[in-house]
Amino acid sequence: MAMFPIASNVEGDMAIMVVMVDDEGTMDEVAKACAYHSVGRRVAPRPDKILRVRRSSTGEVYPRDMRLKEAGLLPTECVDLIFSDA
Amino acid sequence: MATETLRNNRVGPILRAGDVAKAAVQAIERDNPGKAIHIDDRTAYIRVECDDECLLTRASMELALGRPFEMREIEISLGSFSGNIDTSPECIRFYFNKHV
Amino acid sequence: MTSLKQDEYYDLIRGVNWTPKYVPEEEIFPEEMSGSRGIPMAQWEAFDEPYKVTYGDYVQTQREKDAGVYSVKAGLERANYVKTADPGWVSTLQAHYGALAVAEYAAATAEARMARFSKAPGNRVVATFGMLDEMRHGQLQLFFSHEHTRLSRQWDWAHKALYTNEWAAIAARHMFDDMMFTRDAISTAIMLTFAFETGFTNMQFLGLSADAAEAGDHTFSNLISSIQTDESRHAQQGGAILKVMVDNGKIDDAQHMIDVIFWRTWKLFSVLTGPIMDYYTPLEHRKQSFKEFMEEWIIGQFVRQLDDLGLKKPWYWDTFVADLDQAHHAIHVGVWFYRPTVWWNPAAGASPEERAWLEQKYPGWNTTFGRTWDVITDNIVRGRLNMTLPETLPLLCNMSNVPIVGTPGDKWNTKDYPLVYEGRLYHFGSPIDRWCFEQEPERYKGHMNFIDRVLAGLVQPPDMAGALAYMGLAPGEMGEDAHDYAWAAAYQRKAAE
Ligand SMILES: [Fe+2]
Ligand SMILES: [Fe+2]
Repeated sequence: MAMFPIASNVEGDMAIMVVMVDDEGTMDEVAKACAYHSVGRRVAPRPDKILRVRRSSTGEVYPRDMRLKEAGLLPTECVDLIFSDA
Repeated sequence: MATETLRNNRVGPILRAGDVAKAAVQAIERDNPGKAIHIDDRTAYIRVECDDECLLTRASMELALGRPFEMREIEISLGSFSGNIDTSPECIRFYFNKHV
Repeated sequence: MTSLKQDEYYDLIRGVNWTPKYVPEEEIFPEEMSGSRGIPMAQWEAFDEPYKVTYGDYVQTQREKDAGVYSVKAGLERANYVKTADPGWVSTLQAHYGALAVAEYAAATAEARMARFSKAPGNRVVATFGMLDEMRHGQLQLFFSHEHTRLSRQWDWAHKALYTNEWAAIAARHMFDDMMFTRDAISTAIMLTFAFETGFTNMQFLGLSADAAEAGDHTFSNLISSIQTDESRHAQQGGAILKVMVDNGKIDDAQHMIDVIFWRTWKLFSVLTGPIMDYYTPLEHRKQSFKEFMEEWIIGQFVRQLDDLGLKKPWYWDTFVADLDQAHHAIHVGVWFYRPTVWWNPAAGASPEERAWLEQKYPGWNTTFGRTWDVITDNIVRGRLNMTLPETLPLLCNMSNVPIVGTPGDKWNTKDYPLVYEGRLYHFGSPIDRWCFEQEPERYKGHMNFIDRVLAGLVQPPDMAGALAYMGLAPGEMGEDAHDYAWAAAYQRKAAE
């Protein structure tokens, strides 16, 4: 495993957080790590929704079980975390 | 507020509050006869403006202050101004080149 | 000896120029320092400073100005205003002094460059006065803040801030270095004296003086408005230089410089002036909102001046106007949330009455920025202070060096504007910040913002504690909530019911 920096842009937040995540982790795990720094701090929790990871530059929404290292992101590249139904 | 609504032709000094500012209001009324003088008092500073051109003479300042006044003294109170400026020992002129 | 009349004297010195015989002109006025852009010497001699001052007048007037501000200070010293002032106002003072006092000396250097290297003789004369003005500003502001150092270590930052690697200090330094230390004389005249001083300094030195007078801080009000009287005079160099450029077919060059520096300046003031006017200044003392001051000084006065000189509003004007409802509110949340990383105590400014004022001045505030403050307030009410503090760092803009922000809540639009340049990924807070970079990548590409430094291993350990140490912030200097969360009391009472 390696810790990998991403820029986390959580839906509803006014800033983007630099978050270190395990590149072996799945997108659901990435979302959890990102949520930790925004949801409940500056963004209200939405228990009925799940957070999906979207590549900011292309709008591509990653599969929930995809591993971060498979996404081919550049270090510090920005991803949006979008509250979704599934 | 849209940029357009803030577009006007007002020019004049923006003076730090005090005796010189009060005198300048009187002087500007005297030096710009027939013109509407717009005054915005923001406690610490006061905007005194009229359209297109605003004159302020040393003679009127002396009259309003009741004491000798050198034109350079206005600088102590002149926090800012709108429009362009032209200075001389007898008169300061604020103006725009273009009317909009 | 008879002395010349002021206007005769002025015409004489304005024309004092000579043709060098022993060294070529380009050695006396190297292009990289002079920036004459191919406009010949004779054309620069047409420079006509409209705000005419002789040296004798200058000295006398400045002496009288100083007598004024020092006597107000002395007269009010016993009243000890700062000791009893609202903590939000104290933070305003500390942020102001730390960001600006030492930067005045940088401005003195910039004026000195014009005084030495401008090809316009009249410019060299007035820039000499400008240089002396800026030394006065540095000295006054360091002296006036110094007496408070006995009150808390944060006051030490009036002098110290710009010598540290605190993130806001890095941001201010990057902007000031760009504008004041690294430009030729002509660019300096346009970017510093025209764009920055004719426009934005009015916000901080007159707009804020109105709030200061309302707050009863007459010492500070009088000090900064007196400083601005110097600014209004030496700012006139910019217009006179612009005129020479316009007359010699360089209007596009001038417009381009204004477009770059206007945006950079806006970003800096949205961090410095925005939060103090709309959040730190006690509600009852707010003369106008930050946006209203911007409308008065920038959208009204400065833009009309551009128009009169034959220049245009910057190309990104609509984005700029929209940003007046966004940038400083977002930055304020960021500064408050990251309060240990600044040298002042941010005032939240989010009590029910203050929120009502914000909603009135900025319709829609409640469903955007208000949503963020709802979450923060709820955490305070429930005693979860740890959730009102950061555990990681925000992404910073590689141009403004401040957090990349947007509108939160119902109108969420936060977005990163990236650029890969020579293999390095840069981040920007807006397309305009990115455009500024693209205009001159060689100038900007080497700089590392705080996040770049963390990722390069310069900040150890790479966490909040390491970051605070790197920024030079010790306990007693790190910011805390200015009012110790008293603003949340009304919400606490409501929750208890
Ligand atoms: Fe200054
Ligand atoms: Fe200045």
